[in-house]
Amino acid sequence: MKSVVEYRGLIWNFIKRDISSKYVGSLLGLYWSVINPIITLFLYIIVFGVFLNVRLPGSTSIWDFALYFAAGYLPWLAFQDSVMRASRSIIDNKNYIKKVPFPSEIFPVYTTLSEFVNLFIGLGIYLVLFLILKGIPTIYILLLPIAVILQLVFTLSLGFFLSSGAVFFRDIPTMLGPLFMIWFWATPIAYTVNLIPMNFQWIVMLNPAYYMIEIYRDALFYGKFPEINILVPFLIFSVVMFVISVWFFRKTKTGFGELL
Amino acid sequence: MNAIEVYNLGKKFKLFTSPGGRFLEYMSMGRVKRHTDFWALKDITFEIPEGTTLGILGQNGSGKSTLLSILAGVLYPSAGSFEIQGKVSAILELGSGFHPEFSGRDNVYMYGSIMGLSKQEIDERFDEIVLFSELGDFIDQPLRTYSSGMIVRLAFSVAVNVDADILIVDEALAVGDAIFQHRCFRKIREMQANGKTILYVGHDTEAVRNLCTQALLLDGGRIIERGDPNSVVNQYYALISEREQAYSEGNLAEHGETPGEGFETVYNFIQNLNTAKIIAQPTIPVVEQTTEINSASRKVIFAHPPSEITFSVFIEPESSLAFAIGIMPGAWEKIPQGVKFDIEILSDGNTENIFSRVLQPKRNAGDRGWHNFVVPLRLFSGKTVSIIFRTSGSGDDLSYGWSAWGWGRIVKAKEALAVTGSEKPSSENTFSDVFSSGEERFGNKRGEITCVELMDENLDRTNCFDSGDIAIVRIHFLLHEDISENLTIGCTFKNKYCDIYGTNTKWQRMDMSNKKRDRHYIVEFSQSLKLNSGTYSVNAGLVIVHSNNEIEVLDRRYDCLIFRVEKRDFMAGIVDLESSVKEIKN
Repeated sequence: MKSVVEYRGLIWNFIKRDISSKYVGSLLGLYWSVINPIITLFLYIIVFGVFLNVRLPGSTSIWDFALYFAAGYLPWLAFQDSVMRASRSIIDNKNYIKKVPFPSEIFPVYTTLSEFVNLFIGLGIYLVLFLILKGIPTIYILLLPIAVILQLVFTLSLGFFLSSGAVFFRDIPTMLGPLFMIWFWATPIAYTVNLIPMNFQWIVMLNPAYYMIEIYRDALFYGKFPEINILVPFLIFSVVMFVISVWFFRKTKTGFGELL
Repeated sequence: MNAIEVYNLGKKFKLFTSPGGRFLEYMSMGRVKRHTDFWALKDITFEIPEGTTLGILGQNGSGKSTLLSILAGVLYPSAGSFEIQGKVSAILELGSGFHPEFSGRDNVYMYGSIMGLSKQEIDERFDEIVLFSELGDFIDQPLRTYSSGMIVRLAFSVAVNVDADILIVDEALAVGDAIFQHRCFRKIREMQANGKTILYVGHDTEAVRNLCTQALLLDGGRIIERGDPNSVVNQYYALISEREQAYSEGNLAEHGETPGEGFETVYNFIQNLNTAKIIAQPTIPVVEQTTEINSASRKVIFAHPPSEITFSVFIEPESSLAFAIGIMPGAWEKIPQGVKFDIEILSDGNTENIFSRVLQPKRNAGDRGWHNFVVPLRLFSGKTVSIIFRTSGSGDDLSYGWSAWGWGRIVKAKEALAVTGSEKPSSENTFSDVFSSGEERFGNKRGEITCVELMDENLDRTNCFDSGDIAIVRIHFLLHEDISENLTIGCTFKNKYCDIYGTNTKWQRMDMSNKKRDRHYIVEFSQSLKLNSGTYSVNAGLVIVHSNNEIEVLDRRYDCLIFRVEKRDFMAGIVDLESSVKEIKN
């Protein structure tokens, strides 16, 4: 990790370049980051809120459900996009890795960070929605940085694992699409946790994404401090994962030069 | 202090026959083996003192780029270690690390920060970089609009302007135009003067001779020769030409240089094998064997790598070591990394390597069959020395490396026939310390240059001239078969760094047709040596230029004559253009 600090200027250059290549001179970039999530949000709210009539416990308002869904879905979308991009970060940058000597840790780090722009766009969309529907958010919105940092740590650890793994198994990035679809439906985002039958509840408890999303919903929607048995396990899990993933990446990166 | 130290470096690549093989190996956690190892580099040990410019030569696939990639930190070694003092700037491939969608300016900043420069530091150097690269206004255009020449100019400009202590250049210079190459060379010289260490890799032997203070020859992933650039370049030419010759002749049974009839054997290694000290694998002993070559039985010493056979021998004056190396046909396909053959002589406590060669019969068809060599032992005459024959493989190909030393013996010219010609000029070469290599000789010996004489205009032999003197070079040659046409005799004058002048009988429109076998011929080249003071040498060649312009080398002798020129008045450079100078009054 020392190298990441040492090369922060370079990482920043990469991020700037990445972002400008995505948004400068292309309407498509803007579309993906703003319009696409809005359209998806809208569709889900129509299908789940209107057609299927899903409501939060103790509420009859469709807007409560809409905000509940948005508070989980927008961070999830950013999470999914950054993991998928980070998983390709080593393969996509083989031009550098094979030819220019500098630490390859930089690649998953900078792609993850640059994809986090999407998270901020998503949070912006949410806050606009919230202002329109509910007004001023509660003080618990200040918990948001904790949620973001935990998500970053978790995303980075997946990024390290998958980007290095993808060098050895080129199919990993392709396999992630379907896997994320399963993961999305296994996580209570478009529905509430109490809708899951009792004998399947343990799946949710083992799902780190559930903890991550819960923290967001506490900060953004419920306006309360996250429960200790949500916050602490996810914190420990993310940090442990992160340490293992960095170790794994270090172990395997010696092979990048010749396998790419 | 050494800028780079490399110790026993090796790089192993795993070769998989199918993409599934790699997956299977991972899944089985090492229980299934689906790959074959290939050592792209093996046992590389050298050090580069600070301020050296080292040229690395070698055929394609000899491991040059792998070595540079390891030193640049892009690949990790599989064995051994290396140490680098100082910051490295590497140009490993044209435009690597550049992004096509971004402007030259952005890429300079990007590359600079990759090389560890801060924004201010790049700001300071930016104008210099643009000026050097001659890009001008193009610097703000996206890189994809650049020509390859522009990209390499930019890459080189950045690489030399980042204040590295060690610059690694891999063939990149070849892409720039002449003016830019010139400027690069000047920049490299400037860096040399500032005590920077430079590693240059390329096929451009003139550049190696010109720029480098030392050179290294790699073959089959191993170091074959290390030393003075001139001798390494000669050795490189000899290596490729011998290989090419063997390949184009398709004569895979036996070729190379043999002592000929005027020599007698004074010591036979095979007969004395029982007195030799042998170090070998316990399971595969070093033994005498008989092998069929062109339906004749020949005796060889079967020396499976790794092996070492040491003979203690008294070296008579004017004797040479004649031997052959070869790999049994059954193993040709099975040893991708080949076998390295070395001969070292231990005399007065010093070990000197007198022969190094890698045979890679799988890669190079020219490495199949038996290769004869004659190595003069002049330096050791009158001494009792240990001659060590060593074979080394990759370590993994143990069961397949059927390598052997063929019919090794020490030979000496027969008294009665003592040919004055071929030995005499080289013993007169008193400047051999300048061209430390001595003569390099190769060819298929369908004819041979028996003697090259250097004389002044009174036909007295000499090797000291005054600038402007007439020098006469007589090339004596003998043909071993009738050659009706296209025979060409060439003569080139050179100094340590470059060729100065060369001509041949074809360009001089001399009729050399219908020459008969076993006849001696003499061709005389006469020229005036309008040269600056210095030491020069002569290359003599006997070749056939086929109608498709392919050159078949019968005998080529590099640096076969060495002479000095003295010039009394001052001039700069090499050639005296006899300028006249006057002032124009207006």
